[in-house]
Amino acid sequence: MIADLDSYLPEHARPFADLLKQFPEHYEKWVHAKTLPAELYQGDVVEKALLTAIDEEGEIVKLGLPAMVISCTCDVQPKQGEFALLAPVIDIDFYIENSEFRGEALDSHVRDLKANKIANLFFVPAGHKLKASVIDFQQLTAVSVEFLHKKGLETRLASLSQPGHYLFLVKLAHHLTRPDATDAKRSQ
Amino acid sequence: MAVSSQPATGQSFQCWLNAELSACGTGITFPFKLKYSIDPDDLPAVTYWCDVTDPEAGSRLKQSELLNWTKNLHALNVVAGIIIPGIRELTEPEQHNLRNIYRKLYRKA
Repeated sequence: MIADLDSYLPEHARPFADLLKQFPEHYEKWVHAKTLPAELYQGDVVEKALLTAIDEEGEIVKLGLPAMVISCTCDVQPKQGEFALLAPVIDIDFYIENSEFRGEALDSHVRDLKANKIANLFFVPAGHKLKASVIDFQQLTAVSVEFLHKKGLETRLASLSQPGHYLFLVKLAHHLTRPDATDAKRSQ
Repeated sequence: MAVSSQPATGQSFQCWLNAELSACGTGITFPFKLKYSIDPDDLPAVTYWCDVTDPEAGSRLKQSELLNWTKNLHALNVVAGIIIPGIRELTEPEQHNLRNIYRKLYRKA
């Protein structure tokens, strides 16, 4: 099956087929862009964003965390889109320290996390100013593009390389567009 | 019952399948499981009708774009399965664990 990979890759990703075939081996070496681009790109991580959610009691809760740009690059340019979707970026050390798993259960969970086997979460190794982190695709917040440009460009922690961005798309597409489970019955 | 085609009937697979499904009737369990796989290059063409008198017609999706996007999405999902064998959703204990981690990060608005 891995030999067929090339035929599924878009032209711009074919030069990276060998890297993707070896995934997750050595992907810390290619997932990040070597330099931060001048413009804001999908997959960039900004240092601090105010993110919100509704908790189980219906209360609005806030998170002040680094955040990854999930919206398409063209939608986060000035005057293109009104809001950008951002996902929280959780430091892997904090994640592990505060995990309720212990022993082999923790090792197994972290192993799957780092191999990116968990579709809801995107693990990125350390790069640029970003520590190794977990990005949660389940908890997106809409943030003003105008505000993002005032603060975000100055304080970016990392940006994805071309193959890194393709890997990001693979995970995001899988998480958001996978078919409903067969037991998810809907009315006619 | 594994069926990839029905050469003996003289029908196309689609015609045979349609006849079989029609014969099932409402509320009757299918007598077989259907597993449908397709090469990305053979995705069926999307038939797209557009009312030419519709003033908004010019801003609607063009067929070729729609087909490319479908192929792109299909390829991304296939690649996910190839490069990340065993890719899965968070389990219930893992979701619970994540919720607890967030509790240490949240503050009330």
